[in-house]
Amino acid sequence: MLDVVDLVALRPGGQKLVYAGSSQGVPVVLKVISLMPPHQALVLERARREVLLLASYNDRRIVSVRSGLAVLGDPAAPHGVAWLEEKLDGADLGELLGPQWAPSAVAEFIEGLAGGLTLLHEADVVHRDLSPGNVRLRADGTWTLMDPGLAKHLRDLSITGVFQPGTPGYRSPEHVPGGTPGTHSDVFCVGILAFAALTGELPIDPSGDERSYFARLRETQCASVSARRADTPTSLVELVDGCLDRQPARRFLDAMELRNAAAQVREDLQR
Amino acid sequence: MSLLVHDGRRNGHLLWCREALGSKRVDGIILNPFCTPWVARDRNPSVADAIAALRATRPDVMILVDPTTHGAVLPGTTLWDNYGSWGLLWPRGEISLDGPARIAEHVAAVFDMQQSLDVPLVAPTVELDRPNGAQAELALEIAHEARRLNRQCTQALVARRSFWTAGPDLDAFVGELAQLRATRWLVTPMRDQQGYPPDLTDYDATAGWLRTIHSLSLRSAVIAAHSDWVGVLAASAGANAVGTGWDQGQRICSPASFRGGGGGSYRLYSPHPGLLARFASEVAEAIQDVTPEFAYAMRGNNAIPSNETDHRAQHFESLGDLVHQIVESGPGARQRVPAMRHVLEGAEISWRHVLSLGILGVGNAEFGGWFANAKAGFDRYARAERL
Repeated sequence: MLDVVDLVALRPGGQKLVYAGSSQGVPVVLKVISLMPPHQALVLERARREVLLLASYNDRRIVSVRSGLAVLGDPAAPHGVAWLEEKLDGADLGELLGPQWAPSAVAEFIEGLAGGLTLLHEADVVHRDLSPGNVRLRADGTWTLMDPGLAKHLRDLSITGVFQPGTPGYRSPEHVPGGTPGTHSDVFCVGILAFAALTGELPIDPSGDERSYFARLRETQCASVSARRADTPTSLVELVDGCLDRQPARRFLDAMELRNAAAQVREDLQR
Repeated sequence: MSLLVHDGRRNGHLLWCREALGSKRVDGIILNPFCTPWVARDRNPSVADAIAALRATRPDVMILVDPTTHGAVLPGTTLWDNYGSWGLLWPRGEISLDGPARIAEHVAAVFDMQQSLDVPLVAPTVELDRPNGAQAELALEIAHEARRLNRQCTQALVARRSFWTAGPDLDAFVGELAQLRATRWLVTPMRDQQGYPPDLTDYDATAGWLRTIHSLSLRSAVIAAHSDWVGVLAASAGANAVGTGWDQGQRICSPASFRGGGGGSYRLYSPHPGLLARFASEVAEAIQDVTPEFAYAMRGNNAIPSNETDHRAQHFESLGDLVHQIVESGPGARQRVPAMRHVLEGAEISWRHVLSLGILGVGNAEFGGWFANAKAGFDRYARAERL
């Protein structure tokens, strides 16, 4: 079983309970998921995939896992699962959004986030839930991806089941039920985060009923970021707008393309 | 590259292809197993001999062999006379894409065939009537298998009107296609009927077709296959080549393309590039009688063709010039759409004039069929793109 003490409850993450604690003197985060009927098999499989996915990386741009998946209760009929992750210093993106960021900081953010996302996309994995709570800026300036609990390996069968991936406000057109989020959908979500960093606003308003939000996602091309923040340099406008095209074929197709374009913009802005 | 001639079933077809290539009016030929046999039969040379003859005429000619799997698996196909000699495309001896193993075998067989003929690889596909569902998944599975075997292969998309009108679902599917990062796309609109001009009364379908070409052309070369005059619109959306020919079966693809029978009556036609149209000779003569100078200008300063050779030459020259004009106006839709709009505005003025003359055979039906419906679809596309 997981050897963790000094537990302090943190904010819940999706269907997870999240605690800070210590394991053998090292700060860790404990994540616990209840397995409730009727979807316990799906939830268990998702947790198994999340831990396996995190364990396959050893890179500061993706949060590290510090344990295997532990089953809670009767192994034949577990009532929950848990695992440990490294405790990250720094701040969640959600804590940093609000004020308008400098354009160069936004370019650095896109490049950094796309760098971590590249690790997933190179392995044909789509994160599917890029939102302010799942991205963290470490104290050393590294942007780190967390919570790939809804990630999907493009070669695996979907196990989303009853859970619609994504967070309201941070979904792509392909997140609408019936759609298939791909790497270009993660790119769209990076665009949303960058738009929010530049303007303090969301490009597509998620308020109102879900049906109208989904209709806006599928049918409306959001305004250019330049319309909300006129002093945005053209190269950065093109970068952000290039993420947020309603038509997936016209976006950067994956994080590798986005990272390369962002690096160019960042260099241009630093000159 | 701007004009490609599709394979045809007429006697003398190969000779006419060589004639067109020799005159430099066309840049390539797209052969297919429904028109050219693998093994020579009757008056039809084998595909290997046909390719050799085309290359002897012009060594640099681009030759594609479209496996036309979409025709082979199409319900109702009966035109097996040439296709029947291409058994090598189906290693198990039956036409079936049922399951990953058969898909992989067919794609590999298609590529083996193309490599043996030393032509670029063109992936097979199936016809789609909507961008989601089992058939769309099958098309993606085939395309991914093709990409797995060769990332540089040309990918193919063949789809019906209902596919092009699917709005956001279409865009999502095209996003999946773009992920293939194909170097070239062969995009074929499957029409409901075989006649030309095609029925373009569904403006959303034309707009969806153009939007798709626009999206694919951002990363790939796009051939607007079986499109003829309508292909000029595709060039404005980003296509860099248009598939055409001298018979309806080359200018258009429909389920009838894969069924026997018919043949139609022989008529001589006269291209009128100024009206983006082609008229039977008696209609062309009627326009000529009423307004000779205007008629001459509308024909691109050509005489009314007196024989099929003249007709073919004029067709390729006038269509090729127009496609070239649009393609040369810029690298993409942003530059080309205004150029296309300029051409359409000029043609509309000419149409209004010729309609005012009350000539039999040049009425509102022809205006709609040849021009107005196509323009309405183009306008819908351009408006949505804010171009």
